[in-house]
Amino acid sequence: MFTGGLNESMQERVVIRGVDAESMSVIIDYCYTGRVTITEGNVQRLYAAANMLQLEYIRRACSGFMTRRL
Amino acid sequence: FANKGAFNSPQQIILLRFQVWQMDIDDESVDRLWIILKAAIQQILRKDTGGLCFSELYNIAYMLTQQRRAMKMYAGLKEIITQHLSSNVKPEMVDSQKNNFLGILYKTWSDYLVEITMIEDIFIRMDQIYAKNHGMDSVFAIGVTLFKEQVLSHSSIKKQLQQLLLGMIDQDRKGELVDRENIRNICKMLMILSLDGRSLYEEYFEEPFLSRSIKLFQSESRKLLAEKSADKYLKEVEDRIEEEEERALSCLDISTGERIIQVVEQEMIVKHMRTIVEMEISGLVHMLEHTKTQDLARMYRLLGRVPGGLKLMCDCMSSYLRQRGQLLFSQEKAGLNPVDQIQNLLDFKAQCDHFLSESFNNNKLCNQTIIGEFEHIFNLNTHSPEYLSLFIHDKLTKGTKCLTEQEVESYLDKALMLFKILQEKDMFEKYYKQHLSYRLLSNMSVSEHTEKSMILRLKRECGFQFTAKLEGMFKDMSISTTTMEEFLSHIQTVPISLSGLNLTVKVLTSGVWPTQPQAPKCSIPSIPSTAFEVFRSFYLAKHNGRQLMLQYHMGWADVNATFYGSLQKVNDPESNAGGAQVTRKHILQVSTFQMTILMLFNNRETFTFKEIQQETDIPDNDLLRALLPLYWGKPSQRVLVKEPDCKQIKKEDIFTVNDEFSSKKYKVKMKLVPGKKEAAVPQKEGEKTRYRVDQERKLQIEAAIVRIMKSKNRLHHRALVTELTQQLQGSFQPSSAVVKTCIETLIEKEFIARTPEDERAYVYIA
Repeated sequence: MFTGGLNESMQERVVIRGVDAESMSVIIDYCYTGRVTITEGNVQRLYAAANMLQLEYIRRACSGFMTRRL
Repeated sequence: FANKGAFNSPQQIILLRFQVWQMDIDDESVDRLWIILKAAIQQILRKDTGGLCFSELYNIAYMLTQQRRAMKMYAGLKEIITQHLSSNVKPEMVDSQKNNFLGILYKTWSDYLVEITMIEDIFIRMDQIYAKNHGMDSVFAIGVTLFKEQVLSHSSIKKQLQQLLLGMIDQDRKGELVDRENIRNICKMLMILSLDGRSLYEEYFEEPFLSRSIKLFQSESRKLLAEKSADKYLKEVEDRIEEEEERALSCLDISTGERIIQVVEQEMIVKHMRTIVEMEISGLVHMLEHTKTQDLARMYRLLGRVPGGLKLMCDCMSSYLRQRGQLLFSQEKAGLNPVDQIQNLLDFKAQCDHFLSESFNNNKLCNQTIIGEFEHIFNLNTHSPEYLSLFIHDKLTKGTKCLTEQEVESYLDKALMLFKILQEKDMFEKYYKQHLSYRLLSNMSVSEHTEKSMILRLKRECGFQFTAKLEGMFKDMSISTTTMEEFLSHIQTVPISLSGLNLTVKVLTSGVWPTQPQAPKCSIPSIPSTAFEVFRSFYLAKHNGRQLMLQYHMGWADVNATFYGSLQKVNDPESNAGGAQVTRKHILQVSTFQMTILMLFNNRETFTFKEIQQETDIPDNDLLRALLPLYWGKPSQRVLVKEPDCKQIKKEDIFTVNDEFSSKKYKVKMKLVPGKKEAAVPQKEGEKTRYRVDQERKLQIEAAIVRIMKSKNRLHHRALVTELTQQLQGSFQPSSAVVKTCIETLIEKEFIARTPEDERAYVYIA
């Protein structure tokens, strides 16, 4: 997203659409700590955000979480 | 969303998307969103990305996927890319064929790759949900495949690409400057275009490259072979391999390295290796003959790369070694000094070992070949056991050679190498015993330490049984020394005179030494014989029940001799040594027989041969052998003069003392067997030894057969022979003819019998 060559990779301020604040907070925590807290309340949004940002580990964790709860 | 369409805020979309999965949006909205997306893709492909927002495009694609519009998107995307490639990229490439085609192609490709990656990122959800579940290509794969179909497979582009690429490699091979970066880039592109495999790379580049290389190497080989120089050829091939390896590594796909090297190996080595190895004047034999260590090493390296190459080399080396070895060490060369023959063989082995370590990297097969050939050469000559023993004898005998201990040890090590490959080890033992007994009894051994270190080597190789007798000989020697000390102190205490004689007796255990049960007769003069009788009674008093037998043929004596100028007379032992007219005094070192002969002349001036014969009682053969060195040789060095003066002896020939005898040395050694190498076993002796060994072998074989049959009870002939060979290998190789006679003997003696049902099987008779 930030290296792909579209607008985001050129802007100083990037508006990230499609990611809510809570998910972003979980993702940033993950980036610093390597840990991610998944709950039934955040899993769907977190999955979508991780998919867009191509954070493969979180995406897998979310899909695993949801599969177990089906 | 820039254009919000049906939704008010992104936040809302997300909520809807996650919580109400099945909610549809109307077709109109879908179309509008698709138009936005389509325009964005076209912009990306035109490299006009200004104003495009990734998260926005991503969200649209995401939503359309969720809304089950993926199929439409998928088809649409394919169409847009196809359109772009066929109407923009392809014509551009066709146009630029004249000018820096490969450079432009690569640039176009790498730009395209970036664009496809951007598009891929946008369509992640479609790849995940739609393409994957329907077994369809991912966006990236579509991009690659379309590029291949739309651009590269255009015939003129393909042709141009191949021609240029191969042309550049040709130039590179010729050493011209080419843009290797360009080659590497194109190869990389072809590999990516092959997706997971390497099919496109193979089709567009590798296959034509390899087949072109085959032709090149073939013509190169032909040209080189015409020069008839194996060393040059090999050098070129080695250079070629190195060059191709380097090229593949630095500008082709890495997997081509192995393949192109295989082509070189096949075309330049496998197809011509026989010609190269057998090439006259420069092939393997030439290299071996002229010690071309480097060239041999190169041949080894190159032929070692291909199957059968090393074998071919070894075969060729085999026949060369055999030929050369037989020239060096053959039966027909019997005239040559045995010690030199063994030395020649060892030198040759050293040369081969040099090749083995310097050229052949101590390769196992090469080593086996060399050892195998030496074994063949060495065992072909029936004199080998004797010669080898003589060689060791030569090194262990005190004499004029001034060898340091290390030198002697290294000779012994080399001799042991030959011993290891010797088949008739028992034969060797017989000779070794004879030579050792000579060294020990005549006090000619270099040192006991060295002797023992040789015995130790033999023991390690063949076990203690093999050396038991040899060690027995050493034991006898040391016991004799003690006995003599005791004897000397004994005669001090009793009033017995030895008439001034210095007696040294060595008591040899029978069976351990190569003594003869019936020693040749000899009636030795009374002084020494009385002295010996004194010893005999002393010894027998100590060791009850033993028997002492004199071995005249093995003894020796130091005799004082006085020569009276041209006058007359010799006085022998000590008693008369102090005459008034002394001119020259010498000590003569002689054998017991010679002493007996010389002492006759104390009593009379002349003797005929017949008289000597009668007086001494020595058998003719031994007598002749003892006499010859006394009267035949340099005139001034003769102790006796014979009338008439010729080598042949007749019964009436007259012997007198030669008073003109002169020698620079005070101590003069009489050679035992002139003409032959000192201490060499005369031919007859050699034959006798062989006969004795053959008899002993028969006994050993019979004993082994009985042992085997006793344990197995029933055995087929073939199995018996195998077992037998295994048991006896340590000392000799039983010949099948001898084995058969031994079996016959045992059947006659009723130790074993043939089975009634099978003639070729035997049973043990208890």
